[in-house]
Amino acid sequence: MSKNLNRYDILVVEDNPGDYLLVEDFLLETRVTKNIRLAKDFHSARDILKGEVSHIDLIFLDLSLPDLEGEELISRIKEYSKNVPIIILTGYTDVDFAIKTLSLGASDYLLKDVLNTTVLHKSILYNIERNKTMVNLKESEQRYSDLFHFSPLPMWVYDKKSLKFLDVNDAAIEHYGYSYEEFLAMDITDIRPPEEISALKDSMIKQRQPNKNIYHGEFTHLKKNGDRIRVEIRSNSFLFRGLQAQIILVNDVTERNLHIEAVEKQNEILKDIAWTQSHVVRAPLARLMGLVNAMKNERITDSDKEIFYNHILKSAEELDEIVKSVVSKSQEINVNSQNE
Amino acid sequence: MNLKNLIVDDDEISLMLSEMIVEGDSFFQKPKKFLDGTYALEFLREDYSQDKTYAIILDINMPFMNGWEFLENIEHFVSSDNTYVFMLSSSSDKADIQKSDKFKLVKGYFTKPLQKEHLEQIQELISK
Repeated sequence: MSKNLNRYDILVVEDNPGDYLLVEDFLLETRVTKNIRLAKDFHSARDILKGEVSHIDLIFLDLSLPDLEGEELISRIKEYSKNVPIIILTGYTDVDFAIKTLSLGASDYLLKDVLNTTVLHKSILYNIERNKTMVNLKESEQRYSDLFHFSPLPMWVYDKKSLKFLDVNDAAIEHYGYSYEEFLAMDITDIRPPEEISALKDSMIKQRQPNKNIYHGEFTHLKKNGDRIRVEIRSNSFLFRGLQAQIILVNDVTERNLHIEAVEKQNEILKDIAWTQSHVVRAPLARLMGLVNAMKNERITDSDKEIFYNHILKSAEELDEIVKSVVSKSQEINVNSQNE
Repeated sequence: MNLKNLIVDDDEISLMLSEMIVEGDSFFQKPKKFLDGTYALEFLREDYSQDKTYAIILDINMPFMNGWEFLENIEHFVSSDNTYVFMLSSSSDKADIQKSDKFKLVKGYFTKPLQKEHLEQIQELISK
């Protein structure tokens, strides 16, 4: 009857032996079953679903069992069925309730009175395949949600019209100090200092190009405790729960900027030292060289020599002072780097 | 050749040493010494004549008028045909050397102390 090579493990939860036999007959005829297991009440169904060895691809569920029935039965079964599709078996008299079970998590319902192999076959394949797609979709949504929520960088989504926060991730909550609820009660201007509101509006204009990853540059944000941080902002626009939304990725560069500042300051000191080396040190040194050369001259008198000796001593002392100041400047750098 | 020799340097010892070196060279007359660009400028304004040749040894860093300002002040009334300026600095700073290249009057750049070899270069340039 079928080219479908897959065969499935089926659990039938049914207390009426006549109904079970009927269902089993049709199931065998469909040739898509591997194992058919029977549970006569909720407790034995639960034990089968809980069992580690049993594998179930699809559940047929009668809605009135001796130990549980109706809505409660469905919700309890769902606790154990995980993502396995559930098909409700029902009679004409309960058809209204059977329809309602679809909103409670049932995949499908079948009327026992009109059951046949064709209907059953179609229903099994349809529900298993559709369920696979649903599970994939759910997992994919979960993966994207995880990427957002577990991102190490703060991220949020806001409504482009109202500017309200629509969703924030854990890193944003931790970094800014607001709780999830506090964030959702604010709009994005609440984390900006007053002087940057106009810059914010400028960057909103850029965002009109849809679906583009836009680097907006560096801005100042406010934490809950009033701390100002410098942040790099990237954004992208998309539809979120039916709203035109913007997703924001934040990179806090406060520390990095402080570090650059410290390095620049050190560079200034180093440049200063280099300049001192070449200019200031060289002046008394050149004088010393000149004096020593001049003293080789045979024509100079003894009294001139006396003057030259004094000049040499003075220049040497000057040189010594300069070297000392270079040393103390170098130590300034060490002190700075220890403070970092 | 009517050669006038000027040395401009605010460091008195350096000025004295330069003078001794110049005096020891027979090519040069007894040099005129100035402790700042302003005095040298004053002298040159009075003394400058097309008939004479001027060799000016010029320090860069001086408190009132530095070497660059001195050059800017003289370039419009002296000619590079008879005026030879040599920068004399305590260091060979690249930026200073590049800056001195911009002045047509500047014919050389020496680092202190002034030496006989420097004077030989000056003599060679002037005698051409």
